[in-house]
Amino acid sequence: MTSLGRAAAAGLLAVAPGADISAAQSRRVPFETLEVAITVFTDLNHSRFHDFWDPGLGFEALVEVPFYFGAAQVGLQQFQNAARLSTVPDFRSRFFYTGWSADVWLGGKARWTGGIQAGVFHMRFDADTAPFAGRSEPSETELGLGATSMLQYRLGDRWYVAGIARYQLVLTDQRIRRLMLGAGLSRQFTTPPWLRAFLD
Amino acid sequence: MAARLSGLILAIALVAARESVAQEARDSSGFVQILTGELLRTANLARVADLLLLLDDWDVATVDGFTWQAAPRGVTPYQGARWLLLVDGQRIDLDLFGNTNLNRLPVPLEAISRVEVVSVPELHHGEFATAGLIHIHTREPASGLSAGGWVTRGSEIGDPGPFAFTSLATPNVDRFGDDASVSVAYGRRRWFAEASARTGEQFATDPAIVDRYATATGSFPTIKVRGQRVRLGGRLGSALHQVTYQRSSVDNVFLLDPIEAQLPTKERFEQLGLTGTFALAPGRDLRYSLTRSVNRTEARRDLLAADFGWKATTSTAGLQFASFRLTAGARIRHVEVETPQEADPEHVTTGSVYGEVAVAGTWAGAPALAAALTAASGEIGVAAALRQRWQLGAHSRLESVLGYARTVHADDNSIWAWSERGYDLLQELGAAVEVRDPPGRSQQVTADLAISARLGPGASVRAAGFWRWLDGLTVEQHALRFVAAERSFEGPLQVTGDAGGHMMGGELTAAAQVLPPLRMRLAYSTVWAIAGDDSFGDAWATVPRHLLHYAVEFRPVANLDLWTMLTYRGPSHWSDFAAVEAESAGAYAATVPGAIVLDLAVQKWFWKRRLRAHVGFRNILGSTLRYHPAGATWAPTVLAQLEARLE
Repeated sequence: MTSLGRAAAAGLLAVAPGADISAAQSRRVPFETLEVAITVFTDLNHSRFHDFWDPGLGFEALVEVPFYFGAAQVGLQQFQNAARLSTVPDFRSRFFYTGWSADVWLGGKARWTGGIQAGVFHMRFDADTAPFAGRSEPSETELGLGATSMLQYRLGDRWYVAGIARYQLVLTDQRIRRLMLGAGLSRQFTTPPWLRAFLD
Repeated sequence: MAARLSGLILAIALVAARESVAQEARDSSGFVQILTGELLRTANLARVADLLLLLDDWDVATVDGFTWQAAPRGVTPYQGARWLLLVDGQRIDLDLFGNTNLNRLPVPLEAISRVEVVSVPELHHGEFATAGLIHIHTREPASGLSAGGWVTRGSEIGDPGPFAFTSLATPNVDRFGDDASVSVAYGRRRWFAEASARTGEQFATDPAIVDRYATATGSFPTIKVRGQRVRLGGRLGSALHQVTYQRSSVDNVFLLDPIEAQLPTKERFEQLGLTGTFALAPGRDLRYSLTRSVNRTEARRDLLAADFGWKATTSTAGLQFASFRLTAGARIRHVEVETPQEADPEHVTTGSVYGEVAVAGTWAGAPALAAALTAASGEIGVAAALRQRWQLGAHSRLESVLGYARTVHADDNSIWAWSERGYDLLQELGAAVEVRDPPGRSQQVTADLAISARLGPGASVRAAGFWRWLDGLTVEQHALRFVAAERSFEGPLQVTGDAGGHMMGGELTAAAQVLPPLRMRLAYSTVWAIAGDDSFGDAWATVPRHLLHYAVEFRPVANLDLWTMLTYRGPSHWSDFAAVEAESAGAYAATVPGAIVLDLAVQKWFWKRRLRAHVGFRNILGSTLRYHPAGATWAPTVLAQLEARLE
């Protein structure tokens, strides 16, 4: 990744909330809205994991609702990790997670959001490739954790564009450490009453 | 309809509560720890035996995380534990050679509404508990049709992940497994019926045990459990009756202590129980209880030079009268054991009479005296407990319990006791066992004193101390050697049937509700063997001297719980493993290190509390958490749990 990318990520991670968080959150009634976001990610760093695999571009779908404090999230992130060596198989990773975030309006149409995620990192190995020969388990799961810093800009009443930096840690014996940069688009909806009653 | 069923359930509860005033006092006394069903949901439990990790003054040991040994405060070490297990007032005879594994219980975790844990001598539902008691109460069914389900999936961190295909590969970690249960119930005005089933499996793949377990099972070492339970209850005239049938089956790996052999076993348990209460007059009732249980284990593979099998059939009949201040009852209990070694079953029959008298509060306090006499094979056993309570002020009180017990041989369910009765397995195997003294009749004198005060709304503090004299304990001392090929152990065994000594200890608990949604609870207990012979001291050294729990529960809104608990377990020393430590280059150390463990959980209810989602983390600090020198080390673990309750 270029130094420009790293600088952009560092900038996103370094943004500190300068406004009153509680005031920002007090405007949001729990489960009143649903925000659906689509994000494209790419890795910035090069860790031991990247010696063996190239994650390429990944995609994420996220649903966020205002919670009793901050916001609650559920999301799914997917990467197709291409083998860099002939001795390891390609594999698809899916990160199913729940998260929590808090946001601060920075003035005008911009807001900063910080969040944490925890979930299951599911790996499905390509069983048709030679490195898989002799193995019986094509998939494995492990706990994954994440921390996100995001800058959003409002477009109209309900649309947002975002720049996102995320640090992701998968707690395999040899940890998978990834610093990712992403760009996303989201839209806010009013939660249907039946769904709001279910969630509350 | 709901009101009528509530009336029936209330009647059941009132009859149970009317057994005696003393019983009521015990329920509210400081000597009984109560775990609520809500706590069991919040506190990261996956299986029933996990509740032992929440107890203030019991400690636990386990090799594989499925079979747990428990040691109540200063009464018995892990060896020869004689604590009793009750479910809905019925004694459950799960004991296999001195080990009662709660995970063999057919009752699913979701069905539990409350757990009472007793650590002092007392008469409890007709059973005189001299060495601790756990009483599990299940939830009464709702009116009409109801159903529930619970799924838990857990995994330790540290799998190799994609690195399994590289030179950085490490062994796979699958040490927790999955558990699930379902239940369905139907309640009407005068009767109810419910059925439940549970299933679960655990993978014994920790590096410390996987070779032994894989050798024993001859395959991937998985422990599997299945359980079913059916309960019917109803009112006939003025009487309430309940009949319960439950059974479980476990594909386990059983540690046959005397020869340190890991045996792949099929452990089956089934019990049929009928209980009923006749209301004679306001405040007076007559209760009967009939149970028959079969507790058996058999080898799944022939690994021994002799057949291994065990089938104990226990039949119990009891009758009890209870009024506000008086309880009196009698019980007869017959145990029949069949083994491949004996053509004719061995029999043990015991008869007991018991009673309790409670005196209304006077200047001398509010005493309650309970006693039981047990007769078997020409022996008479005695148990007595004098409980006293003084109200020191509007919000403080002092309580004491003095106890004495002398058991009969028939109470002893250890393999040594059965060997004395003719069970020849160990002789057939040619086990290197030296029995110094055959199992005797154990005796104990106990004294407990506790002072407690309510400091304000939601805030309380309690300090307690105890002394015990124990005699006639059967303890084993192994001179184990390390067998490197299977990472197992072998060595001669010495059995002492009259170990004894003195124990002292104390406990401090404090609870506070700082803000309405924030509750905290601190519990510290310590136990010391202050005098006694070497075997007594060695047995107690395996129990950590110090145990501390600090739990915080934060419930900012009704349907959201955040829970955390910090636990400190002191180190313990297992002298049996002294030689193993050197021979295994420290892989199996005789001293199990102390550990500071932090658990976290977040739980959210949905759909008007019909659905619950729970995510929990155990040992999030990654402490070296081990419960036995030959056992697994528990890495950080994540648990995900879903529950549905449709009522």
